[in-house]
Amino acid sequence: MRIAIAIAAIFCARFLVAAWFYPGHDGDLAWQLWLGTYVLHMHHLPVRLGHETFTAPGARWIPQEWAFSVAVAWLTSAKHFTVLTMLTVAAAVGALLLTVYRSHRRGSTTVATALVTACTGFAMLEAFGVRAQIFGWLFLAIVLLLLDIETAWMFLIIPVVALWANIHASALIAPVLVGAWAIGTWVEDRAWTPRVERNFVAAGGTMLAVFLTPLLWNLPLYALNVETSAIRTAIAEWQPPDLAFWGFSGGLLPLLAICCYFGIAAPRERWRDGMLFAVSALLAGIAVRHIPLAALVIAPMAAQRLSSALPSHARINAIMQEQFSETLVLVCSALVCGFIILALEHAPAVSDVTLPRTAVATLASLPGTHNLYCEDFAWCSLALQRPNLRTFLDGRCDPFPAKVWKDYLSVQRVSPTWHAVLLRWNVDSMLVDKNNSLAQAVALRRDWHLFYSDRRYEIFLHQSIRTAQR
Amino acid sequence: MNARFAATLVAFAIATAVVSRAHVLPEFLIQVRDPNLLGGPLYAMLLKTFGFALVAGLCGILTGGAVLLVAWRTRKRGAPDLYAALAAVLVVLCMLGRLGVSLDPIGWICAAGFALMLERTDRASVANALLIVAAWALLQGGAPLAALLATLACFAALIDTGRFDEGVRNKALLAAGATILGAVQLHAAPWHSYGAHVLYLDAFAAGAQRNPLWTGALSVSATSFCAVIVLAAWYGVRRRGRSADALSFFALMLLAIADVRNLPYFGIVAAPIVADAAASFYVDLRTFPRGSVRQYAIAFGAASFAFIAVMTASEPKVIWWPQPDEQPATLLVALAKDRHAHRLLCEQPRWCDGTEMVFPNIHPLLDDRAGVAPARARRTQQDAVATHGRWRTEMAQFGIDAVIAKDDANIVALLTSSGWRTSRTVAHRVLLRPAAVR
Repeated sequence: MRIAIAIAAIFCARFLVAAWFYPGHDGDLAWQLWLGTYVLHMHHLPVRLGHETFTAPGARWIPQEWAFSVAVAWLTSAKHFTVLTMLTVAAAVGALLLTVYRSHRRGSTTVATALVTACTGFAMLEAFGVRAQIFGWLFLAIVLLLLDIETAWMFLIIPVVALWANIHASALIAPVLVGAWAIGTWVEDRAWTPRVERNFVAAGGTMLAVFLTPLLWNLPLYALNVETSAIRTAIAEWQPPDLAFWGFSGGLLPLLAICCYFGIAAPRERWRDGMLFAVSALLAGIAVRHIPLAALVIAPMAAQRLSSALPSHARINAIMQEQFSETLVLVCSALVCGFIILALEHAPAVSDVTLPRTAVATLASLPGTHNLYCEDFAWCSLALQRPNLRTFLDGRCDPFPAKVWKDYLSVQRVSPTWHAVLLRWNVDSMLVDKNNSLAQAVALRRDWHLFYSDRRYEIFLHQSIRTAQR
Repeated sequence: MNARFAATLVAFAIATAVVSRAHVLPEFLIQVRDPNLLGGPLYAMLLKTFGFALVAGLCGILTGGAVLLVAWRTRKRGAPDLYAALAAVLVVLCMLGRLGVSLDPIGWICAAGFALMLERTDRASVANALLIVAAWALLQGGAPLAALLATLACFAALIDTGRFDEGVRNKALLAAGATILGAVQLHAAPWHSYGAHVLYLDAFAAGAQRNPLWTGALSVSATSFCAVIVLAAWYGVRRRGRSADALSFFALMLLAIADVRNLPYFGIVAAPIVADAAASFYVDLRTFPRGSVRQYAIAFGAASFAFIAVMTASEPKVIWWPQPDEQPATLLVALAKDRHAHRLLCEQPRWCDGTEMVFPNIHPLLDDRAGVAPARARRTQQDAVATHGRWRTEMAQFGIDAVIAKDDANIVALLTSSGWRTSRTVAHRVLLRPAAVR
């Protein structure tokens, strides 16, 4: 187990560096800051979009990440954003360590536990950030541990899921998993035993727990809508997995392969594990954001089955359990941690600010109110803090009506109607990536002129603004 | 319950399904004139002589035959009839997304037959397997898969026995033969038209022909793949203690994830392994099929003959050219009408499949054989579709004077705002021509 902990420490260092520089990369923190500030001042959740957007003011909004947003606003205003960074890293590492512990509880051997820990870490790595769903990973790991324990303690799942639902809508996966587990025990026992009854009560409790948020029944409805929504095609983390996505090929795929090779139909636990495996395998194929969740579920099963091929008396396990080997691995782990921090701290891909903060600030300094279209909707989240900028679509994305999404995508994909869409919505400013097609298209138009340009971004203004300035 | 005929029923049900909705896969249009593969000219001759109904019936019966061979292989491993039917259902699920008229069913039946021979260790089976590979290499483009499977089986036999005995020698012989035949197909025989190339695999590597398994929704292919994986994980592919099972299962699993067109091959290889693992978990008594292969083959042949005869008799004898729904036929007709030579760029290379054959005055930049096109043409296609880099200059260098793309594609807006016009629109696809051209 110590070797697995050493591997978890390496991922901890990597998460730490990613989290430290994260605010420079993700626009979502900007709208979460705006939402949190709103909740702290108004003492209630907004239920509709306001005039910070010009395409959908008054549209119904379910701010599912409200608790995380309040934390962002509170800690940012207190100049303690670092605390949130540390908490996010702790949540991710906590989920990893709980997976190590679950593997250990199932009698997994040293090498098997270390291997699945590394795979799970890889599965988490690409999706990691200072984001609400990272806390979802921790809650999922706790729920799975309580399921594994299978005592009266498992009713703790209910408050855990209630807390999870207030932080992120991924809590909706909990009733499915606990329900599948309960069905698994029912099939195994072939009768309505006290264990089956307890598991079904816990499953019912988790189902009710997802309603225990200020959003009540709206949260489950929202989650179901998102799973089937057309907007998913425009969001990177909702794309299907592929071999090129190394969180899948280096993380989840080896775990699936181990399970397929050894089989998880051990006489004692086969239906419970089998049901969870089936749900996870199906979910993982839907979107890359489900890959870490699937890895957390499957990893201990893989470790347990792998241990049957590599028992504790196997030579490699015996070597790994020696004092010298453990010390060597721990020292190497410490060195790798130090190397990761030193190397990535200066890596441009990690440490550079990639958000168009200067561009948005420059536009906001222009007199008047501007209707801004951002090629990437997440960039427009930066404009929410600017009272004279109104967005076409921003990082809150879910509440915007399908018609707005359709128009947004037709401009982003430079479809033939792109300019008519902009005119119809009275867009007078556009923030684009200068290397993309939209920048080429807008540069060909005489009624738009370049207002701002830097290494990556350009802002174009419509002629109506220039006329007004004259 | 008597499950003896369950697999046969599944096989003929799928054969009927193929014929009742004889969907033509887009690449069929280039396969039927591909000089590398004799299956194409053979299909073209059958189309011309007997009509589409016979070709559809033949595809149906080849598909059903592949399913039956999978079920037979499951039985030959000792699994009872019920589990043979399970294998048949699993392989049909994996084939569902690719059912239709194309050269694929030839590849499937060859793969199923080859996998069956691969599980035997005698010399006669090696010869039979090599005959299958030779036929596969001549008729359809997937023969290198046989080389891969044979090589893996050879390694597995070596791992299992730990010495180079008679069985391993036979497997090595088969692997060597299959590799030579596969390599000949990959690198093009002297009579081939393209010259040395890695047939289809180079296009696969370039990404021009890749169809991912997962598309973000619960598709039939993704769900079928998931069903096989879940069953495999439930019982374990190492259950029968054969390394060949595991190696071939995982190799084909990776290929299926990389491209959904490999999913039926994954089903053909994996379904008997999974069904047999399930059988060995629940059933102590192993039962082997009675009767000779010859008897089964005669029965299947007679049933197939009746099936194809009924299908051909019940369909009109008109010889017609099937046009897949995916092909922008109307736009191609509109472009070809002026009888001038045109250089065409299709946003999806497969939209240009068969164009040169049907319209001799249209020369597509790329079609589904993207891999055999020069690297420069592939780069131009990529740059133009992504409107990236010097894409206009690259298009001009190839003399492209027509583009077919979806109406909301980047390239449409950028070309129409710089001197091109929409010549024709059909079902969200547009044909673009330079404005100066009338």
